[in-house]
Order: sequence, then structure tokens, then C-alpha cells
Amino acid sequence: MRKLVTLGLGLVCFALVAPSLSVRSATPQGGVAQGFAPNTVYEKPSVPVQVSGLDAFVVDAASTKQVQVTLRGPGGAVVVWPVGSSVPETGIKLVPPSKGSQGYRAAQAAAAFTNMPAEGLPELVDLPPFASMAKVSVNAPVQYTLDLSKAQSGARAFMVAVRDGSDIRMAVSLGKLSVPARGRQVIEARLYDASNGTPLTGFRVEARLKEGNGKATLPVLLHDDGRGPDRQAGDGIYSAFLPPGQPGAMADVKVDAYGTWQGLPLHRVAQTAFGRQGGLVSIASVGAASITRGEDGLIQSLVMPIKLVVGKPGNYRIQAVLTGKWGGGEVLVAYASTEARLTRNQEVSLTFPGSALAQAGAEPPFTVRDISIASLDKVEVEDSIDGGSTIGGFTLADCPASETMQETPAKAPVP
Amino acid sequence: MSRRLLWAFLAASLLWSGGVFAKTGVALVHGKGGASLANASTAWNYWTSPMISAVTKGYTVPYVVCHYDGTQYMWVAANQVADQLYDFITSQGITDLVIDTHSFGGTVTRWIFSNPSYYWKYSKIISVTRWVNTIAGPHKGSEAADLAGTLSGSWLTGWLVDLIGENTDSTKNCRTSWMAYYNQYYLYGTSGRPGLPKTFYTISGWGLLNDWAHAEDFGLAALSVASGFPGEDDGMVGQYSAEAIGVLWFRTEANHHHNRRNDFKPIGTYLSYDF
Repeated sequence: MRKLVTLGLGLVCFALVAPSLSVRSATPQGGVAQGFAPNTVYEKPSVPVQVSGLDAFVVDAASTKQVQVTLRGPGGAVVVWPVGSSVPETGIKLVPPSKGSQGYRAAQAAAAFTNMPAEGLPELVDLPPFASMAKVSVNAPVQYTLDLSKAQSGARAFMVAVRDGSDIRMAVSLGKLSVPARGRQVIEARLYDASNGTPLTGFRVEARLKEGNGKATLPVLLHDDGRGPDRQAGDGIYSAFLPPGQPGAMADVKVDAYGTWQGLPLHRVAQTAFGRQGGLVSIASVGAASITRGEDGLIQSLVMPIKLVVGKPGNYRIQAVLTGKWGGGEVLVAYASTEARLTRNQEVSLTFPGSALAQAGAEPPFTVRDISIASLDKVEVEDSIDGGSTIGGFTLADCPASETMQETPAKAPVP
Repeated sequence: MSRRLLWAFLAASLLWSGGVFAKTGVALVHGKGGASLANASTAWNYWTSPMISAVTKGYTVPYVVCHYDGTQYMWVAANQVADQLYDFITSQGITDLVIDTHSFGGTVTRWIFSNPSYYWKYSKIISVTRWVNTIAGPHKGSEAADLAGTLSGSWLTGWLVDLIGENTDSTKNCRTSWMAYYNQYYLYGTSGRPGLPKTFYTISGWGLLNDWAHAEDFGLAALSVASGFPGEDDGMVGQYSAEAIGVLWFRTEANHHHNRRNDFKPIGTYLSYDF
């Protein structure tokens, strides 16, 4: 009798808990398939080129009382944030060169800083609550002295950002948006004068890497010598391979360029980032797409099988795009994704519905591009391949007319 | 008589199912900030009472002011927002939801609409949403967040590391390079990616010194100069980034501080045109 009661209570408890269990362990099932509008240009996934005209650095207030700051043209500005202080900084000055020094004639008088209390901003951008800004326009390169000796805010450090008013830029680019954990990422930094394209050579360019929440690594030197990853010597484009790092994490990269330009020191800094693939699931192979047709002979779908090696069970999204040729260029035709809970090595299918193929107006054959598998549990890309296989053997006339695009709902105009 | 009642009941059912009796509600999703934004009162102050009153037409439209920890990644914040939206929808019987977001709140909301299977409550929210208005959303990231990353303490050595500190997860999330990654693999709506399941309208800002009485305006002006935005910006988000998804509704001279309020420009009043 007692056993029966226990069993009964057990069943009641299970019945109570089961619904929540079923929700938590539910396998995500989903995916999207869409066609693209005509002439949507295909762009290879890559980290956007970070173009920087910025000189930024941090000064230790205890050991440094004066910093040299070079201003080179109209519209320059120096912004200083006192760190570790709860009051604005009113004692700093930007002092021009003394009479007889280079740039004396081009310099303004001592530039006054305006206090820019930034109430509410620290949490928005993780910068200190007070900023001081001095705007300085010069007509030739001038070296000012940022005098911190009379600082009264009690700041223990100063963050300094300088816009020198010149067209000297550093454009930083990475080879890929995500790379295998053990893969090598190429980084390039192009130093140039944007007003006329003149390359800046002879600079020391270094990159620091930061993996996940870790601290920065030792700097990697970028070279402009035409060897290794560098394509051409002396073109102002400095290159290096970045070392492998922590799988599954975003890797931050900071690039500093130091050198001399027009007889005065020049520093440029830029930051970028890319993803390290986790490798929990990898793409073993991509099979040939099968074409299914309806009774009317029109294409119902293109189904592309993808074999996966599953190292860790979890919820994943597999996605890819189809591209086609249009007017001499490559345009997007359709996107498809599928989401599934993967527990073992298995094959999944990406289905591009026939109705999504005609919208772009590009004539087959189509090319499969950018197959990737991304974890929905860890928010990291596990594997990706560029694709490249083609799907053909049919014409645009074999594809059913695309469904009418949903119109954007009307909105009241704003005066 | 009973037949009349039956017909009336059937007609009412048809009208109900056709959405004639749809119950409209509005949700406000704030941007990034401190952990204290997880408190309802802090989130309310983020928008201010005049803004919320204007959006809801004097509190006549049912509303919810979402509140989440403003230091977290978009997917952490999104689940906190989804819990509140789901409770609002189900408890008030909302069948026609308009979501108004500011800054990073647009990214958080885009996560929900791009990843419906990430959390079981997302699909219900998507299904009842009429559209989303994103004010100054950093859809392609923010150069101001890039600057914060450049000056972050973790690039330094010695005691300066701890003094200056590391950026929060939400600031990292807003960097232009990080957003390029998320836009490519996780988020919908940008060029070359699938469209979002509901229309996202964008509102972008281009003003800086709107109001000399507000300290935030000075800070934004300095930030704009130091960050080096390509083109116009509102001190925190570039116009190109705010307009990188969906359909542009309007541009405003209100800066990033004022475009979440109803003071310098009547942004809240404009949003209330939806009702």
C-alpha cells in the first residue's frame, strides 16, 4: 500500500514537473528562406575597414607632467578625460611652441580648454564623467605641449584623444570576419595621406591582441617589406599574421603606428575585432544540391545536404546564401537557414524554395556562398566555408514566380 | 430571439478574429548604461515621464517600460526584455504591439526578431508586434564605443589597468567590428542579410549642442569630435549606422541625449502618431 502511495505521489510530482522539463529541453526548430531584391550586390563577409585619423593614449598623471601633441591643420581638437577624479579638470593647458621654435608662426596662442561635463555619459561609453576639449586650427604642423603640471582635479591618469586636423589616415583591415581557432588571420594597416594618396613609409606599426576577457598580448610587428603576408614592399601597407588564440572568443586588435611626418612625430591608432571559431561542430562536406519539381514542372526547392561532425551537442544554426551573375557582377539570389539540436554526427539540409529563386532575376547557375554553422547556446561561429560549388541545369523560366513582397505599412509623416 | 443572439455571437467572433477588436499596446526598450537600469525606476528616468506620457497619449495606451541590466550582451538583455514583453502581452491581452527603442535597445530588440528560437517567448512577441521604431540604434555599431575600446585599460600595463578598467559587455557589443560579426552571423535586417519578420522603422539624429543647460550635451559634443564619425552623428551613433536596417521614418536634430526625450524635439509626440 505504501509503495502504491509513493508511486502515486511520484507520478503526480512528475506530472507537475514534466511541462517545464519539456520546455527547457525543447529542440529549437526553425529557419528562414528568403529571396533577395534584384541587384543586391554580394559582398564577401569581412571586417569593415577601420579608417582612423585618431591619436589616442593614456597618461600616468604621477609620472608625466607634460606631453607633446602635434597639430597639423584646420579643425584640430584635443580632448582630455581625467581618470579617477570626481571633479572637472580646469588646470590643464595646451601651450604653443616658444618663439624661434618650429611652427611658432603657425601656432595660435595657448589654447584654452573648455570643460565638458558629461553627466550620464560614463555608463553609456565607459569613459570618465568629465571631459575637457580644446579646439585648435593651424595652417602648418605645430607641436604643442599638453601641460598637466597644474592639474587640480586629483586625476591619477588622463585619457587623451587628438584629432590633428590633417588628412593622414590609417586604414586597418583583416582578412576574415571569423577564422578557425588554430587558423592565421592576416592584418593590414595602410598609412596614407588621404588628400593625395601618398603612402607613409618607414613607420613602426604594431598590433596587440586581446582574447576574450584576457589582457593584451605582446605586440606583433607589421612589416612593409614585401615578404610573408606583405604583398609589396614600400607601398605604405604594413602586414602581419596574427597568432592563434582562444577558440570561440572575439579577438580584439589594437594597431598603433609611430613615425615622423613633415619633421614632427605622428601617431595613429585604430581598433578592430574578429571572431575565433569554436570548432564544436565542423562542416565535413557539402553535397550536390538536389532539385525537386512540382507537377507543373517548376522547381519546388533546391535541397543542399551538409554533413556535420558534432563535437559537442547543442543548438545550432546552419546558413548559406546563393549568388548569381547580373550585369557582370555577383548578386545575392537567396538565403536559407535551418536550426536544429545536434547530438551526433549527422546530415542536415538547407532548403531554398523555388519561389525564392526568381526574385533577384539572376539567371542560373547559382553559386553557394558563405556556409556557416553558429551556436545558438554560446553565440559563437563554429565553422564556416566560403562555398563555391554551383547549382545549375535549369533556367530562370523553371523557377516559379516569386511571391509578392509584403508592402511596408504606412506611417504618419512627421513634420 | 435565441437565433438573433447566436448570429450576434457569430458576428462578434468573426470581428474578433479579424482583428477589429485588437488591443493595442506600446513597449519602450531603453539603451545601454549601468547595471541599475535593471530597476524599473531607473529605466523610467532614462525616458522621463514627459516622454512616456507623450508616447502613450497621456497614459491612455497600455504600455510597459522594459528594464534590463544595461551592461550585458544583447542576448542577455533580450531575454530580460522578452520576459517583460511576454508578461505585458499575456496579462493585458495585447494583440497589436508597437515597440519603441532607443540606442542599444534597438539592437536588443533586433536580436529577438532575428533569433525566434533562442527563447520560447520570442515567437509570441514577434507574432503580436505591428512594427518596431528604433531611435538612434547602433545597427552597425558606434565609433564612440570604438574609442572607449581604444582607451580601455586592458591595453595598458601596471596599475593603470585596474584604474581605467575594462569596457562592459554592452560597450563591446556596440563596437563597429563586433556588430559586423553579429550582423553577418546572428542578426537580420542589414544589407545582404535576410529581412526582419516585422518592419523596423529607423529614426536617426544629427544634432549635438541642443541645449546649453544639459551637461550631457557638452559631453556628447566632445565625444563626437574625438570619435570621428563618418558623416553626421548624434554624439553617440552615426546616421549611417542608425539607418542601416529597415525603413527610415525621420531624421531629427535631437542629439543622443534628447532623442530619447520629448523636450528639445517632440520625439514622443511623433511616436504617438502610431496610435
